Amino acid sequence: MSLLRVRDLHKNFGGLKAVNSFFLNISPGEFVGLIGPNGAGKTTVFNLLTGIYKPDRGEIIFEGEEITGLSPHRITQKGMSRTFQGIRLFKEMTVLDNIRTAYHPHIQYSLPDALFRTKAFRRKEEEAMEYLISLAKIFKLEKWLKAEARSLPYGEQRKVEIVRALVARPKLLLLDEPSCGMNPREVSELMELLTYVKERYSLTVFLIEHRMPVVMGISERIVVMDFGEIIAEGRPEEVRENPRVIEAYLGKSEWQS
Amino acid sequence: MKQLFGLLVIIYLVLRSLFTFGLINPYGQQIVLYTGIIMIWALGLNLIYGFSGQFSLGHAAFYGLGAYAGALLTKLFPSFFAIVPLSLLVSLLIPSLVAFLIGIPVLRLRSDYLAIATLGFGIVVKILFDNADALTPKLGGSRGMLGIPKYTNLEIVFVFVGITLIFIRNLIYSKYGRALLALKDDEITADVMGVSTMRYKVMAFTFGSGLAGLAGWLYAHLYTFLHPTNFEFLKSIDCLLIVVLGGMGSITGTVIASIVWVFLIEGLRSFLPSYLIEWRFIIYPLLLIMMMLRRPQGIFGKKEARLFRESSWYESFKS
Repeated sequence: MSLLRVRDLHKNFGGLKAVNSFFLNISPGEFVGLIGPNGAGKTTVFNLLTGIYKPDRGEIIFEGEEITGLSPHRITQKGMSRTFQGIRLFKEMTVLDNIRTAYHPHIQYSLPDALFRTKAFRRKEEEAMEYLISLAKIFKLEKWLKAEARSLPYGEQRKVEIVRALVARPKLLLLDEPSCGMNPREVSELMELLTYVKERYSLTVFLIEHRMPVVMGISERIVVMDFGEIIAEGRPEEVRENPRVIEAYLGKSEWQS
Repeated sequence: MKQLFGLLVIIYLVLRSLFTFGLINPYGQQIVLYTGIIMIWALGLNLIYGFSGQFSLGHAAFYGLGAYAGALLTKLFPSFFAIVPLSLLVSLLIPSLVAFLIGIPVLRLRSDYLAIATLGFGIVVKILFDNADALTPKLGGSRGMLGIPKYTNLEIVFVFVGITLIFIRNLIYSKYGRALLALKDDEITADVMGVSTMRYKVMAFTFGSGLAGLAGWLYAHLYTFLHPTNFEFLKSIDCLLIVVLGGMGSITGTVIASIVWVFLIEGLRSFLPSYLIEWRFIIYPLLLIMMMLRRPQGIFGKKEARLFRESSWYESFKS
């Protein structure tokens, strides 16, 4: 059974068809890349999947359950979490509070527990803290935990975003251009980390990426979009050879036609 | 918790002895109690606006609802002993319930629209108070409500200031508080990170308004007289000023700003020569302008005194 099944998804903004008849199947454990030129509609697809936008038409099925039109927090709680293209950390909160916030559906105590600081409150908070610190250590973020998120270097902020998405305990992780703004060395480190994390937490990953070499190296399957439509799909080497993909990226030259 | 409790007890004992030995005159005593009331009221708004970022201009209305609801009960049944706790409960619950009911539609709006909607609500409630004598003459309407028994004393004020401070601090440093801070910082991201934003906004609004109602009860039973102008729109602005002056999202800030504000408005009455008294209303706006120019984040910004920080077990996780 596929983890995510998207059928005939449509989204218009005014007259612009941002996403037009989008189909997708992702099986558990897959690493799927989504590529396409600027404005192809990749981020819109993510926003539709995570409930930020409501689709005009079509359905999204996650683990056999329809999630079309649910609010973002419900979708996240069902096991889909994401990062954002431009970093969207809670800027004025500490790194620790950023990831603790994302973990909050898994910290289980009641409001009276919190108000009266009961034993249950302390135990759950301490458990959460230990787990989050151990996770931060994997990403070598432990020294930043008490710093305000916006005070971190760019690359570190990216990592915090990924950790924040991970603590929501997703089955499907959506990454929107995680390497954006990084230098080549940082990018290769990030990709290693992502491969590690995927295995360690047995995740399924759906990745938007601009840089062809990056996405080609890491994805098992690639979906290519242009003008809101899927123009190609397949294994990286197939997609690379596809004339429609080359055309979308490089344009059609006069003398070829 | 223990430190905060200890400090409160010490301040209480000092004030109690000053009161008992007549070192503070009755007018001064009233100002001290009023300061505590303002603190509870403003802490309510700090929860709504400072911590959760929901710009409410109707905070005086909830203060008034609590005041009138509680006062009506104690005025109707003055000799019934259990009326004090009962009316307190009513003063807490009625504004909370009203906030909950109007919160659900109104909190969908984004900040400036929310401000206008809550402003409208505040005006409606004030007009309701103006004409409340149509409901029962005991409420007094625009002539004001007289004959409320005086129940508010130092002990009651202290107990409630203490409970409010402890509860707000405990709430902020829990998963609920973090959800509130997150939705203030970036609502869409908070939602995507699994925070049910609507639920938490309504929660903060309901709690904060309940605190306003509680402060209203204390106010009514301190001054024993209520008038609709005590709860008009400008009072909501006063409350907003205290929160902004102290620092949005700082408990310490609200506590200090409440003291400063009451001193500027009421305390200066006893210090300034009579021909300068009305200058208070020049002094404090000037102070505000200076403040906004020099320190727009408020006296404390988001900083907290040690007492109001996340407790020591959190510090033990130094990595």
